[in-house]
Amino acid sequence: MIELNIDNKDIIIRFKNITKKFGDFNAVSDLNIEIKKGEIVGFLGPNGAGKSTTMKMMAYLLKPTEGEIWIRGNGRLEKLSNHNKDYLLDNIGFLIENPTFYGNVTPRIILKYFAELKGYPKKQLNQRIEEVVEMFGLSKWIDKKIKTFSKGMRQKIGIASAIIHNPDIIVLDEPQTGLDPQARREVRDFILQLKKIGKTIFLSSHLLYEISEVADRIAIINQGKIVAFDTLDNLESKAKKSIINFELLDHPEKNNLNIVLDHLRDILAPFTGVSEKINEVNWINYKEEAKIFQILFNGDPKNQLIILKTLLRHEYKVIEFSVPKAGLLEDLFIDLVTTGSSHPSNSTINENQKQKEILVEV
Amino acid sequence: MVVGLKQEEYRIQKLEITRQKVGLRRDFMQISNTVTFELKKNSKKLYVMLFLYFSIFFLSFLMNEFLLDLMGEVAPTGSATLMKNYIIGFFPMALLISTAAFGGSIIAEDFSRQTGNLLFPKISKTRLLIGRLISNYILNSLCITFFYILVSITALIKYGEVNTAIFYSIGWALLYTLVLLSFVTFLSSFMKNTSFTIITSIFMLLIVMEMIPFILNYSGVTKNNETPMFFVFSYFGYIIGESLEMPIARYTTDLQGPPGAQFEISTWLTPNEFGAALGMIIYITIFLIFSYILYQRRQSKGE
Repeated sequence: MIELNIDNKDIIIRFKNITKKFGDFNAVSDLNIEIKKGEIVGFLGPNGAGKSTTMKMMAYLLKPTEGEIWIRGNGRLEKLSNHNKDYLLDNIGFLIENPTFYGNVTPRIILKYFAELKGYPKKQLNQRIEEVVEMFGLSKWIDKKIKTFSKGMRQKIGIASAIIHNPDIIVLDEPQTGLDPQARREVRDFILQLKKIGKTIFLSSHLLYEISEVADRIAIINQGKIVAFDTLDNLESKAKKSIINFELLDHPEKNNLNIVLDHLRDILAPFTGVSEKINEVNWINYKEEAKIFQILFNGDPKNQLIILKTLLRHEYKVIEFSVPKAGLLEDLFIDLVTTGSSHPSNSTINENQKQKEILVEV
Repeated sequence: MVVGLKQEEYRIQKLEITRQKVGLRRDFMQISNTVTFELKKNSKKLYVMLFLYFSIFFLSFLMNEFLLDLMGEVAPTGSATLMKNYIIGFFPMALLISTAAFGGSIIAEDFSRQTGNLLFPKISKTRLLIGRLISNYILNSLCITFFYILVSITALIKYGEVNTAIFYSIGWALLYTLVLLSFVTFLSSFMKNTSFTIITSIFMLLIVMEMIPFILNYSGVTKNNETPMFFVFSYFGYIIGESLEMPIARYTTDLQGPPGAQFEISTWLTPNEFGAALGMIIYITIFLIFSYILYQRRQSKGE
């Protein structure tokens, strides 16, 4: 059991030793997460890992078999219970799984209903609805029946319904699922915008890139257990490797591609910082579709700089050079979810463990 | 998508709001908001059902005005008889169909279409259920009232008067509608989807409920048995039409069976007022309690 530090004013949500069982099946086991005010926490895990179950427990749709959920309300952390759920959940906007809308109503009608349910002041209601719909670029559709909407538009209305009552905490369960790239980008931008205005966001997904693009910290869940919870940078450093993408002004021809690759291998091999064993694998690739080279390296910015300098010294006309955020974190994710819960990287638990140790000492 | 980012940020930050506090007042407001929303959501269904009731009225009108003469039946002698003819004709069937259509989605829809993911935890199941029951009851009552208005106008044109017994009849119809709505809600609490709930409700009410008394009568179980059919709740609906001209004896007896082995069977025409009111209230209570329990259980399973 972890000790609670209820004076920590940064913490806005705390899952404490949460376990949820369905019969003999453990959907969530001893889950501990703390979410701080104003941050985006990504909740990452494969399908069936326990993400939605955790979010439903937070929404008080499911009761934890064991453990407690603490939510900040009126300046202090309070344990979520039947007694105070209405008041605590008032300040949270939920989008759980892929909701289906009533087709024969308009966004205006449904958003008005949801805002009213949450006690939004009537005088400001119409203005708020129009603003939120405008933020999603759906102003022209505000009085159209939802059955005429595309999947992406419906998902936007779903997110709008989560924020319509202007909550401080927003919980989004797989908000980008089923969306086309354009709509995904829009949702991502919107999430970042919400963070800018100080909202706290708890975002779940089974897609790494979806989370890594926006999250400050990532909790990885597998088979109901948190196997890692840390910042993206720390998790990447644990991955011990990352990827550089670069593009040349003159794309290599098919017949001389192997020559270029061999040359790059020769000049860059000493600077990747990855083990020889990995080096033996195909650590440099050319992605024909995207016209980019990909280099596996140790993620160290110094090596990144040396690689760039080396390329330029050898007169490669580099027009793009980047380290994608998700990088090879994907590998770490796959490692973690395949090796189970033995990874010792839950920094929050460690932090709490330290707190407990201090308390014991006192 | 995010047009004029800075401007939007400013707008959102400026919106410092004071939400209505949680408590009894908010609970009532949530129920009221649900009623309003459901009325808007089901407005199209209302128009379809009003058309159904009008069609039923028109059919009854044709039968009463033209077919009775052709069939050699005695024409109604007063407004009460005329209204009774309209009420006991196709009206009960319309009542079943409209109640099933309005009530079928009360609970099942949230699970089959995942609309529950939108609603919860914005509102509790109790408040949502109450709000939906009220709104669906209002919609159904509007349809019933519309039909009674048509019948009253016909009686007024034909006989120059409207028998005041019509108010008893509409009262019973409204109470019986609540029984039917509770039953449909009960089915909706465990059925997979709305369509299946509607079909099952109509099947149960039109066929099963009508078959039970028939089977009991002809199997001889109720031979010389003067116990009313209180165990079949559709029996309580008989009072809607009969209350316009309450029969002196509440049941008729007939001789059935082959010559020499004939037996007497009772056919119940209507419950009395007290029995009907009590029976309907008991059925409403039972169905709604079971609906609520099943609804709660269904939710807690994490569907």
